[in-house]
Amino acid sequence: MEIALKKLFHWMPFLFGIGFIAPLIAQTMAAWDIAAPFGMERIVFGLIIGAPWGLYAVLRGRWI
Amino acid sequence: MADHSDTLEAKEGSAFTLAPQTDQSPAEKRAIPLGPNEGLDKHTRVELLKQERVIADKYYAMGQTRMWMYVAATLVGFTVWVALFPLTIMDVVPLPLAFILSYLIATGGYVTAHEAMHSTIGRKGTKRRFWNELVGQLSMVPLMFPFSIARATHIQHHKFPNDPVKDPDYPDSAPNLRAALVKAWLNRQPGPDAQVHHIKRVMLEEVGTPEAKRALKETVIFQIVGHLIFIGMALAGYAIEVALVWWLPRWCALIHTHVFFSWETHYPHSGRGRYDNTRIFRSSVGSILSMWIEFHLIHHLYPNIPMHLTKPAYFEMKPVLEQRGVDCSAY
Repeated sequence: MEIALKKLFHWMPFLFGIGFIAPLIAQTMAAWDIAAPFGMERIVFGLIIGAPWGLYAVLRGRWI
Repeated sequence: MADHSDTLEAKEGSAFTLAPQTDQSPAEKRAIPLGPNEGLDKHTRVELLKQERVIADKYYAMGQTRMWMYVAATLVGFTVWVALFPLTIMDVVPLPLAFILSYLIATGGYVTAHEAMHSTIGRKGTKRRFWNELVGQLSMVPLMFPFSIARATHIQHHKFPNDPVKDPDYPDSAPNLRAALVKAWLNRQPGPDAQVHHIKRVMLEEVGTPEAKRALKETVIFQIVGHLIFIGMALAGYAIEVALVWWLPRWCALIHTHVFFSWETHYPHSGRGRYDNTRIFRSSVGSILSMWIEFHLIHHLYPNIPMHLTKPAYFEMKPVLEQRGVDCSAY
């Protein structure tokens, strides 16, 4: 259980990037009526930003 | 009764020193150095401590008649904070206003929780204990921390202020305001340098009680549940609402509390004595936004005096503190 929680915490920034930052980007773009580039869905654009950013935070230990 | 855990005997041992010269000017008297050899004979120190305690007891008793204010503020604040979620989703409350309200509630929540940490609202075994615990639990929710870890770390901080190894708040130390702000950000990052690792070590190795271990487990649960709520609301289409009502205000409140309630109060984080582990100062954000924490020395001397009475208690105690050699130049 403890190991599973440690793993979950370790990967939490990545999950946060996918589950929170990506929809936040997509919904903010929708609220401001901004289209995603190359005709892609806004959520896809959000995931392109959120997932690598979360992964960076996991690997680097910092969001910025 | 007010807290007298830091007894004179424990602080000063059996070391006797010569009495100060009686023909000193007031300015010279204020210049008496701090520390175990502070230049006051034992009789004077005991007399000064007695005077302190009389004033502390007076303000503690005064505070006990008004502690319902903290309960009322918590209930109103928490209700408003919860209501902000549906009210912003239904476009009843504008998001910028919701952000400001949530930030103030989360920051102020630390102050009400802080009273509960010291059990000033209701001691164990009293009828008011329920309200004390309720205030503590509800106040900490916007900050996404359980009351148990806040209380455990804060009590440990009071026992070992400015101790690099034993004080859970020590990672807040920084040479200036800019560095303190940066550190408050870095300390909340997910990597190995995060303050949470220092807190975990202090709780397990220095405190080591079953309560401390349980508090750590509750922190893990709080963090997971909180992040799942963030993710759940975002995936449900309310990412902006949860970001501006909880996520961002929480971040701002955490930085506010760590910088202006922790860093600035104990700056320069070097003193560990009864009278120099914290100070009387003018806050960078003013009295209101610092929630009158500028009289933090009074709080560390007598934690049972509620926060809103530390200012009048300080002014009454000021002549005594000056004789002790405390720097009272800020107010």
